[in-house]
Amino acid sequence: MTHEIIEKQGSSVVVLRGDVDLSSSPEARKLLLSCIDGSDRVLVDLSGVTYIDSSGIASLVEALQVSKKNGKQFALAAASEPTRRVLELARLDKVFKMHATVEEGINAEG
Amino acid sequence: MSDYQSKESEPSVRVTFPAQAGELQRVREVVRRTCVECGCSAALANDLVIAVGEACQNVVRHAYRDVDDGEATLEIFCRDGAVEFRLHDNAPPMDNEKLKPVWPKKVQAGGLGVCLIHDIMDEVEHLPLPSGHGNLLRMVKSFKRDPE
Repeated sequence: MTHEIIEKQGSSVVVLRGDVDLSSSPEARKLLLSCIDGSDRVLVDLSGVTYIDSSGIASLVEALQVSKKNGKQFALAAASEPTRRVLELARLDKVFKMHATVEEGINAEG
Repeated sequence: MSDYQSKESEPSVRVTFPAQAGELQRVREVVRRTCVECGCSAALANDLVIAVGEACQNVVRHAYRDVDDGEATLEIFCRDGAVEFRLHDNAPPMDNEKLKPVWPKKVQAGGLGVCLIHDIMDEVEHLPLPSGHGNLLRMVKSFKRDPE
Protein backbone atom coordinates (compact mmCIF):
# COMPACT_ATOMS: atom_id res chain seq x y z
CA MET A 1 0.00 0.00 0.00
CA THR A 2 1.13 3.53 -0.71
CA HIS A 3 -0.51 6.73 0.37
CA GLU A 4 -0.59 10.46 -0.17
CA ILE A 5 -2.25 13.25 1.79
CA ILE A 6 -3.54 16.25 -0.10
CA GLU A 7 -4.94 19.35 1.58
CA LYS A 8 -7.74 20.74 -0.54
CA GLN A 9 -10.39 23.35 0.27
CA GLY A 10 -10.35 22.64 3.98
CA SER A 11 -10.36 18.86 3.58
CA SER A 12 -7.56 16.39 4.15
CA VAL A 13 -7.78 13.92 1.29
CA VAL A 14 -6.10 10.63 2.15
CA VAL A 15 -5.29 8.78 -1.05
CA LEU A 16 -4.75 5.05 -0.51
CA ARG A 17 -3.36 2.88 -3.29
CA GLY A 18 -2.69 -0.84 -3.68
CA ASP A 19 -3.69 -3.63 -1.29
CA VAL A 20 -4.90 -2.64 2.17
CA ASP A 21 -4.49 -5.91 4.02
CA LEU A 22 -3.12 -7.32 7.25
CA SER A 23 0.40 -6.17 6.38
CA SER A 24 -0.59 -2.56 5.67
CA SER A 25 -3.77 -1.92 7.67
CA PRO A 26 -1.87 -0.88 10.86
CA GLU A 27 -0.22 1.85 8.75
CA ALA A 28 -3.58 2.83 7.23
CA ARG A 29 -5.15 3.00 10.70
CA LYS A 30 -2.36 5.20 12.06
CA LEU A 31 -2.54 7.47 9.04
CA LEU A 32 -6.31 7.92 9.20
CA LEU A 33 -6.35 8.59 12.95
CA SER A 34 -3.53 11.09 12.58
CA CYS A 35 -5.41 12.94 9.81
CA ILE A 36 -8.59 13.02 11.90
CA ASP A 37 -6.57 14.46 14.76
CA GLY A 38 -5.31 17.28 12.55
CA SER A 39 -8.30 18.05 10.36
CA ASP A 40 -12.03 18.65 10.73
CA ARG A 41 -12.80 17.03 7.37
CA VAL A 42 -11.18 13.84 6.17
CA LEU A 43 -11.97 12.28 2.82
CA VAL A 44 -10.48 8.91 1.86
CA ASP A 45 -9.85 8.47 -1.86
CA LEU A 46 -10.23 4.72 -2.48
CA SER A 47 -10.01 4.80 -6.28
CA GLY A 48 -6.58 3.17 -6.29
CA VAL A 49 -7.29 0.43 -3.76
CA THR A 50 -6.92 -2.92 -5.49
CA TYR A 51 -7.91 -5.10 -2.52
CA ILE A 52 -9.07 -4.47 1.03
CA ASP A 53 -9.61 -7.11 3.69
CA SER A 54 -11.47 -7.07 6.99
CA SER A 55 -8.48 -5.55 8.79
CA GLY A 56 -8.49 -2.64 6.31
CA ILE A 57 -12.25 -2.25 6.70
CA ALA A 58 -11.75 -2.24 10.49
CA SER A 59 -9.36 0.71 10.09
CA LEU A 60 -12.03 2.63 8.17
CA VAL A 61 -14.69 1.77 10.75
CA GLU A 62 -12.47 2.88 13.62
CA ALA A 63 -11.68 6.13 11.80
CA LEU A 64 -15.41 6.75 11.29
CA GLN A 65 -16.15 6.11 14.95
CA VAL A 66 -13.34 8.38 16.18
CA SER A 67 -14.51 11.11 13.79
CA LYS A 68 -18.08 10.93 15.06
CA LYS A 69 -16.92 10.96 18.66
CA ASN A 70 -14.89 14.11 18.02
CA GLY A 71 -17.43 15.91 15.85
CA LYS A 72 -15.31 15.58 12.70
CA GLN A 73 -16.44 14.75 9.18
CA PHE A 74 -15.25 11.52 7.64
CA ALA A 75 -16.23 10.19 4.23
CA LEU A 76 -15.10 7.83 1.49
CA ALA A 77 -14.79 8.76 -2.16
CA ALA A 78 -14.41 7.10 -5.55
CA ALA A 79 -14.43 3.60 -4.08
CA SER A 80 -12.88 1.11 -6.47
CA GLU A 81 -14.93 -1.96 -7.37
CA PRO A 82 -13.00 -4.30 -5.02
CA THR A 83 -13.53 -1.87 -2.12
CA ARG A 84 -17.18 -1.35 -2.92
CA ARG A 85 -17.73 -5.12 -3.09
CA VAL A 86 -16.17 -5.78 0.33
CA LEU A 87 -18.13 -2.94 1.94
CA GLU A 88 -21.31 -4.36 0.40
CA LEU A 89 -20.55 -7.93 1.56
CA ALA A 90 -19.71 -6.58 5.04
CA ARG A 91 -23.04 -4.70 5.03
CA LEU A 92 -21.21 -1.44 5.62
CA ASP A 93 -21.92 0.30 2.31
CA LYS A 94 -24.72 2.31 3.94
CA VAL A 95 -22.76 3.06 7.10
CA PHE A 96 -20.16 5.29 5.50
CA LYS A 97 -20.86 8.55 3.74
CA MET A 98 -19.72 7.69 0.22
CA HIS A 99 -19.11 10.07 -2.66
CA ALA A 100 -18.81 9.08 -6.30
CA THR A 101 -15.80 11.32 -6.83
CA VAL A 102 -13.23 13.13 -4.71
CA GLU A 103 -14.48 16.49 -6.07
CA GLU A 104 -18.01 15.66 -4.97
CA GLY A 105 -16.72 14.77 -1.51
CA ILE A 106 -14.75 18.00 -1.20
CA ASN A 107 -17.71 20.10 -2.28
CA ALA A 108 -20.25 18.25 -0.14
CA GLU A 109 -21.93 20.15 2.66
CA GLY A 110 -21.61 18.78 6.19
CA MET B 1 5.77 -21.45 -4.59
CA SER B 2 2.88 -23.17 -6.33
CA ASP B 3 2.97 -26.71 -7.57
CA TYR B 4 0.62 -27.65 -10.38
CA GLN B 5 -0.59 -31.23 -10.30
CA SER B 6 -2.20 -33.19 -13.09
CA LYS B 7 -3.79 -36.16 -11.30
CA GLU B 8 -7.55 -36.01 -10.67
CA SER B 9 -7.16 -36.86 -6.97
CA GLU B 10 -4.47 -34.28 -6.43
CA PRO B 11 -5.17 -30.59 -5.96
CA SER B 12 -4.87 -28.37 -9.01
CA VAL B 13 -2.61 -26.17 -6.94
CA ARG B 14 -0.85 -26.58 -3.62
CA VAL B 15 0.81 -23.57 -2.00
CA THR B 16 2.79 -23.70 1.23
CA PHE B 17 3.57 -20.32 2.75
CA PRO B 18 5.00 -18.81 5.93
CA ALA B 19 2.10 -17.64 8.10
CA GLN B 20 3.07 -13.99 7.85
CA ALA B 21 1.06 -10.97 6.77
CA GLY B 22 3.54 -10.11 4.03
CA GLU B 23 2.95 -13.47 2.31
CA LEU B 24 -0.80 -13.08 1.85
CA GLN B 25 -0.71 -11.05 -1.34
CA ARG B 26 1.15 -13.82 -3.20
CA VAL B 27 -1.34 -16.41 -1.97
CA ARG B 28 -4.25 -14.26 -3.16
CA GLU B 29 -2.69 -14.00 -6.61
CA VAL B 30 -2.52 -17.80 -6.81
CA VAL B 31 -6.17 -18.07 -5.70
CA ARG B 32 -7.35 -15.58 -8.32
CA ARG B 33 -5.41 -17.19 -11.15
CA THR B 34 -6.47 -20.71 -10.24
CA CYS B 35 -10.15 -19.79 -9.86
CA VAL B 36 -10.18 -18.27 -13.34
CA GLU B 37 -8.42 -21.36 -14.70
CA CYS B 38 -11.09 -23.49 -12.99
CA GLY B 39 -13.77 -21.63 -14.97
CA CYS B 40 -14.96 -19.04 -12.43
CA SER B 41 -16.00 -15.65 -13.75
CA ALA B 42 -13.77 -12.71 -12.85
CA ALA B 43 -16.41 -11.46 -10.38
CA LEU B 44 -16.65 -14.83 -8.63
CA ALA B 45 -12.86 -15.15 -8.57
CA ASN B 46 -12.75 -11.76 -6.81
CA ASP B 47 -15.23 -12.95 -4.18
CA LEU B 48 -13.29 -16.16 -3.64
CA VAL B 49 -10.09 -14.15 -3.21
CA ILE B 50 -11.87 -12.20 -0.47
CA ALA B 51 -13.05 -15.36 1.32
CA VAL B 52 -9.81 -17.31 1.06
CA GLY B 53 -7.85 -14.15 1.90
CA GLU B 54 -9.83 -13.85 5.14
CA ALA B 55 -9.24 -17.52 5.95
CA CYS B 56 -5.48 -17.14 5.43
CA GLN B 57 -5.49 -13.94 7.45
CA ASN B 58 -7.18 -15.78 10.34
CA VAL B 59 -4.41 -18.36 10.31
CA VAL B 60 -1.79 -15.61 10.60
CA ARG B 61 -3.65 -13.48 13.16
CA HIS B 62 -5.34 -16.04 15.32
CA ALA B 63 -4.19 -19.63 14.82
CA TYR B 64 -0.49 -18.70 14.92
CA ARG B 65 -1.01 -15.76 17.28
CA ASP B 66 1.96 -16.68 19.49
CA VAL B 67 4.08 -18.36 16.82
CA ASP B 68 6.58 -16.56 14.58
CA ASP B 69 7.58 -19.37 12.25
CA GLY B 70 4.27 -21.10 11.46
CA GLU B 71 3.45 -22.43 8.02
CA ALA B 72 0.19 -23.03 6.22
CA THR B 73 -0.74 -24.94 3.08
CA LEU B 74 -3.56 -24.07 0.73
CA GLU B 75 -4.82 -26.68 -1.70
CA ILE B 76 -7.25 -25.80 -4.48
CA PHE B 77 -9.27 -28.51 -6.21
CA CYS B 78 -11.03 -27.70 -9.47
CA ARG B 79 -14.17 -29.85 -9.54
CA ASP B 80 -16.89 -30.05 -12.15
CA GLY B 81 -18.84 -26.85 -11.47
CA ALA B 82 -17.20 -26.22 -8.12
CA VAL B 83 -13.95 -25.16 -6.59
CA GLU B 84 -12.79 -26.52 -3.25
CA PHE B 85 -10.18 -24.99 -0.96
CA ARG B 86 -8.42 -26.78 1.88
CA LEU B 87 -6.35 -24.65 4.20
CA HIS B 88 -4.11 -26.57 6.59
CA ASP B 89 -2.00 -25.29 9.45
CA ASN B 90 -0.04 -26.82 12.29
CA ALA B 91 -1.26 -24.40 14.94
CA PRO B 92 -3.10 -25.41 18.11
CA PRO B 93 -6.70 -26.39 17.28
CA MET B 94 -8.99 -23.37 16.94
CA ASP B 95 -12.09 -23.04 19.07
CA ASN B 96 -15.01 -23.95 16.80
CA GLU B 97 -17.17 -21.30 18.49
CA LYS B 98 -14.84 -18.61 17.19
CA LEU B 99 -15.28 -19.88 13.65
CA LYS B 100 -19.05 -19.50 13.61
CA PRO B 101 -20.40 -16.52 11.66
CA VAL B 102 -21.97 -14.02 14.03
CA TRP B 103 -22.77 -10.71 12.38
CA PRO B 104 -22.04 -7.83 14.78
CA LYS B 105 -25.27 -6.28 16.08
CA LYS B 106 -23.78 -2.80 15.78
CA VAL B 107 -21.06 -1.31 13.62
CA GLN B 108 -17.69 -2.29 15.02
CA ALA B 109 -14.10 -2.57 13.90
CA GLY B 110 -13.53 -6.29 13.67
CA GLY B 111 -15.31 -9.62 13.63
CA LEU B 112 -16.18 -9.59 9.93
CA GLY B 113 -13.73 -12.10 8.44
CA VAL B 114 -15.55 -15.30 9.37
CA CYS B 115 -18.88 -13.78 8.29
CA LEU B 116 -17.46 -12.90 4.87
CA ILE B 117 -16.13 -16.44 4.41
CA HIS B 118 -19.52 -17.98 5.20
CA ASP B 119 -21.42 -15.48 3.06
CA ILE B 120 -19.30 -16.15 -0.01
CA MET B 121 -18.79 -19.91 0.27
CA ASP B 122 -21.50 -22.59 -0.04
CA GLU B 123 -19.82 -24.95 2.42
CA VAL B 124 -17.42 -24.14 5.24
CA GLU B 125 -16.11 -26.83 7.54
CA HIS B 126 -13.51 -26.57 10.26
CA LEU B 127 -11.90 -29.90 10.97
CA PRO B 128 -9.44 -30.21 13.83
CA LEU B 129 -6.87 -32.73 12.68
CA PRO B 130 -6.98 -36.20 14.30
CA SER B 131 -3.46 -35.78 15.66
CA GLY B 132 -4.82 -33.05 17.96
CA HIS B 133 -2.46 -30.60 16.37
CA GLY B 134 -3.34 -28.35 13.48
CA ASN B 135 -6.49 -27.25 11.68
CA LEU B 136 -8.09 -27.88 8.33
CA LEU B 137 -10.57 -25.39 6.93
CA ARG B 138 -12.50 -26.78 3.97
CA MET B 139 -14.43 -24.32 1.80
CA VAL B 140 -16.45 -25.11 -1.32
CA LYS B 141 -18.09 -22.84 -3.87
CA SER B 142 -20.32 -24.14 -6.65
CA PHE B 143 -20.79 -22.19 -9.85
CA LYS B 144 -22.32 -22.40 -13.27
CA ARG B 145 -19.97 -22.03 -16.17
CA ASP B 146 -20.80 -19.30 -18.67
CA PRO B 147 -22.11 -20.87 -21.91
CA GLU B 148 -19.41 -20.65 -24.56
